Amino acid sequence: MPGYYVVVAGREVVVRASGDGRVTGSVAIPVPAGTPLSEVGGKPFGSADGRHFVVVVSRGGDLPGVADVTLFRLTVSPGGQPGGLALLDFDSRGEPVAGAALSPDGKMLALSLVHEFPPGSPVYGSVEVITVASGATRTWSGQSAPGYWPGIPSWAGDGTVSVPWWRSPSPGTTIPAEITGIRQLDAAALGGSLAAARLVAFPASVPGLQSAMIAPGGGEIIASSCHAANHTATARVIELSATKGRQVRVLRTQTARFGNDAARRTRSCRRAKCCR
Amino acid sequence: MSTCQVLSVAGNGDQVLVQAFAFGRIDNGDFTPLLGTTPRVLPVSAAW
Repeated sequence: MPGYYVVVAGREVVVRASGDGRVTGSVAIPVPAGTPLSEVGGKPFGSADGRHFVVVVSRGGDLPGVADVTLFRLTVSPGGQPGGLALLDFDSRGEPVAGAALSPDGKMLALSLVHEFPPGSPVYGSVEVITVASGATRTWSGQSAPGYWPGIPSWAGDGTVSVPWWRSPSPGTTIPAEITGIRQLDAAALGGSLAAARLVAFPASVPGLQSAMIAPGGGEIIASSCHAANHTATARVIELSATKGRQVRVLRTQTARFGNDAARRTRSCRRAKCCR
Repeated sequence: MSTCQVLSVAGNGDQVLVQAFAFGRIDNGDFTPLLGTTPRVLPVSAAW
């Protein structure tokens, strides 16, 4: 288990110990404060060594589906102390960044961007691979595949970027959605069409998912779903095969009651008790 | 951001930071609540 995890809380990055959650350090994000009309939020993405992170900071505005994105690199010491946040040369041109992943050697950064504007139009996405030292960027555009978009990227070695290939069940919506397979990009290529990149297609799409990440090594996808019925919401975390899309196991099921007749409690359970 | 999110994955999928209402880690199938932001029901942005 990695020794530390980082949390973005407001305009602060906090490092905590994975064992007990104690704070080992923090660093301020050097961006102006948000306003009610221009909220600021951040999301961290880790790397294989557990010490290098990318923090995606987004500033929204009046237009839904449009965000001003700033990227920072963060290194955490073996003792859990964060270094400074290093600004990365990047321009999202207003498109929200859905995910980021540093290559194992830290020299390249893969980003997934999702184009959701104007609202109601078919969603599509793109993947950008940035050479960290120079800022040189190559783009794989998914504009020719409306209704599909790339999920959070991951690296298979230093040369291949893999992304879950999502599809919307209805125009203009993204969540919940289904994963149809895994797109694999040659990070040394010059970019091009995302729809032309190699696709490991699942025999059947996996529907009803809220989120998904490809595990290090590329053999598994960890995904989540959430359903509500009869005043009960059920969240599930599952492991899928990255080649077939079939469910391998349920990692976690948690239910919560809501509504007027709900008790103020949550109930967690393991597969043997409630997930058959 | 949803309160039902896979936030980060390590170790070939054996270790997962997750928010399934509560925020915590799944370590070889066992869930341990962790501190994130407060109040705990808010979506947490975290990674390892």
